[in-house]
Amino acid sequence: MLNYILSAYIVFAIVLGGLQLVNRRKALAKALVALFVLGQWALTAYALLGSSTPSSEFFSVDALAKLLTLVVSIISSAAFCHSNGYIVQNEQDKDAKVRAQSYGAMTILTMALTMAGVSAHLAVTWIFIEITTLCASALIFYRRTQNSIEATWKYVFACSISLVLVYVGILLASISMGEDSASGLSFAALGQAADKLDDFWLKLSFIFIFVGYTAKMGLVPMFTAGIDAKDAAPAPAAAVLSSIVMNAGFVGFYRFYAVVQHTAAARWAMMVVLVTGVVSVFVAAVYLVKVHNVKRLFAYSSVEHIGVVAIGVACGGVGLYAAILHLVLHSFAKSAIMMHVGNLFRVFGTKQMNRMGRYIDKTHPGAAILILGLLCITAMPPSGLFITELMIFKALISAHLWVVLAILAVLLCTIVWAMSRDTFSILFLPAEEPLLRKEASQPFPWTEAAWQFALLGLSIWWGLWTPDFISSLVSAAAAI
Amino acid sequence: MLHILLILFLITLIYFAIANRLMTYVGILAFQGVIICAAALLSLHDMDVVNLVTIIVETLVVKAILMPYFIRRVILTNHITREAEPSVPNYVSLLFCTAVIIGAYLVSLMVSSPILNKMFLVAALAGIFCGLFFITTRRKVITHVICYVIVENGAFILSLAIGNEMPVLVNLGVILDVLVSVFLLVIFINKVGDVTNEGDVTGLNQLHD
Repeated sequence: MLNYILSAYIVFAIVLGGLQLVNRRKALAKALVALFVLGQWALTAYALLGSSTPSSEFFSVDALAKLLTLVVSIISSAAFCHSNGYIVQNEQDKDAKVRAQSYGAMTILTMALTMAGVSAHLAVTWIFIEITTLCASALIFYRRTQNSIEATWKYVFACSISLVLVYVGILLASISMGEDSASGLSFAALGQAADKLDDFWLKLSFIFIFVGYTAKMGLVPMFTAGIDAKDAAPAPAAAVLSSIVMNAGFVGFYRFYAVVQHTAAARWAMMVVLVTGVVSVFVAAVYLVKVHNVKRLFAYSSVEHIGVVAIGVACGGVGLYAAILHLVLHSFAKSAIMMHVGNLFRVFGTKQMNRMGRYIDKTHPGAAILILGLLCITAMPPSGLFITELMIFKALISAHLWVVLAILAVLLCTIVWAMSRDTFSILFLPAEEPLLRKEASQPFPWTEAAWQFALLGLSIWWGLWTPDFISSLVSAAAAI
Repeated sequence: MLHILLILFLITLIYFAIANRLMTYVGILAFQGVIICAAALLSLHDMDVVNLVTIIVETLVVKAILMPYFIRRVILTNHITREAEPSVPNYVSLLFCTAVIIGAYLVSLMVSSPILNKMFLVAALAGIFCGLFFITTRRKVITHVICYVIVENGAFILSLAIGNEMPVLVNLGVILDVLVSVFLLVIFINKVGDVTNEGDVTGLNQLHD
C-alpha cells in the first residue's frame, strides 16, 4: 500500500514538474503549483494521520519521516508563495523559460526531499539526495550571471564528489555485512545484522557516508559549495537550500548513524561527529566575524547551527532530542531570514553590508522581521533555539564534556556578537558607503511578510511551547 | 588476467600524474574506460545477461567513448590551453600517487573479507584518492571534470568487487555515471558558453568572502 501511494506521489510530482518545464503561461503555472502543494499536503496528512508506521523494504513512514515531511511541506509552501511574488517583481528581465525551469525544479526538489525523508534503504536515500542536487542546481542557476554559473558549477561538482563518496560508503557497508549482504541494505536489515557487521569496514563506510553527506548538511569539511550556492541563489531557493536540503543531508547521515550506534563502533562514531560539530562551529565563528555579504552571513550561521546539531547528536539522550528539535526550528527561522534577504536586496540593490543602513526607516514590518529573525537565529530568548541549545548544554554537562562545553560557549558568544553587530548596523546605522543605485521605493509585499512572520512564529512556538504531537515525534525520532 | 587489468589501471594513474598535456589526460580516460569494461566482463560472471550487457555498454559507450569525446570537444571549442598546468611539480604528483598505491596495498594486507577480492580494493582506493588529489592540484575546470571521472572509475571498480553478491549496487553506479556525466558535460558546459559568451570556463573564481 505504502509503495503504491509513494509511487503515485512520485509520478504526480514528475508529471507536474514536467508540465511546468514546458508550460509558458503564467496562470497555468500558478494552477500547477497550487495543485502540487495540495498533493504535497495530502501526502503529509496521510503520513501524519496514519496511526501505525506503514513500511516496506524501501520506505518507512516513521517518526523522523513524519516530522521532516511536515517541515518540507511547510517550508516548500512558503517558498512557492514567495517565488510567485519574487518572479512577478523581477518580471521585466526574466523570460517565461526561466520561470518554467524554476517552478519545475522546485516541484521535483520538494518531491525528492520528501522521499529522502521516508526512504528506509541506504541506496534509496542516496538516489533521492542525488536528485536534489540536480534540481537545486537548476534553482541556483536562476539568474544566468557569471556568479550564478560559478556557484552552480561548484555546487554540482562538490555534490557529485560527495555522492561518489557516499556511494563508496554504501559499497563498503555491504562489504561489512559480508555473507548477509544478500538480505539487502535497508536500515532495518542493517540494524538486525548490527552485531555481525565487520568493525573495520563499518568504520570506513561510516567515514565515507558521513563526509559525503556533509556537502548537503553544510558541515565541515564539504560546506563551502553550499555557502556559494546560498549566496548566488534567489531568495526562495536560498531559503530551501539552507533549511530542508540540509535536513535531507542530515537524515541520510542520521539513519546510518542510528545503525552504527548498535555496533561496537558506536563510541568511535560519536567522537567523529562530536569533533566535526565543534570544528564546524569554530569555522562558522571565524567566517562570521569577517564576512561582508549579508547572504553569506546567514549561510555561515547555518554551518554553526548544523554544527550544534552534530554536537547534540553526539551527546545522545536529551542532546539527541534537542538536536532534532533544533534542526526543525532552525529550518523555520533560517528560511524566513533567507526569504527576507530578498527584500533587503530589493531595497538596497546590493548584498554588501557596508552599503546598507537605516533599514528601520525604510520598512517597519521588514525591520521587525530582521530583529525577530536575528533573535531567533542567535538563539536569544524568546527563540525556540534558545531552549534547544540550553538542552544541548545540559547534555554536554551530563556527559562530562566540559572542554567542549567551554569551547562551544566561547564560540557561540563570538557568533552572537558578530551577527548582532552586522545586523544592527544594517538596521540602525547609516551606510558606510553610498549605494550604487538609487534606493527602491517598492513596498514590502504583505504576503511575504505574513509568511516570514509565520515561520519565525513557528520557530518560537514549537520551541517554547512544543505541541505534544511534535514532542512525541521528536522523542520517537531520537530513540535510536 | 583480471589482476593484469587492475595493475594497468594503477599504471594509468601514475602516467596521469606525470602527463603534461590535456589530450593525454583524455586518452588516459578512454583507456581506463576500456580497462573497466574488460574488468566488468571478467569479474561479473554470475550476473544475468541483460544486466551484464547494460553494464558493458555503459562502460564502453559512456566511459570510453562519449565522455572523452565530449571533453575533447569542449577543449577544442573553448580554445583551452593544451598544457595541463598543475599547481604542483609533476614529481610531487608522482610521489603522492606511489604513496597512495603502496598505502592502499598495505591496507588491503591488513583486512579480510569473505566476499572481497583484495586487488579490487587496492585499485579502487588508489583511483579514488589519486583522483581527489589530482582535483586539488589541477587549476583548470575541465581537468577537474577529468579527475572526477577518475574518482568515479575508482568507485566503479569497488562495485565490481561485490557485483556478484549485490548486482543492484553496480547498477546504482551506472545510474550515477550516466546522470552526473550527462549533467556535468552535455548540459552544463554548453551553458557556460552561453552565459560567458567567449566560452571561457577558466574564469570561475569570483565568489569568495
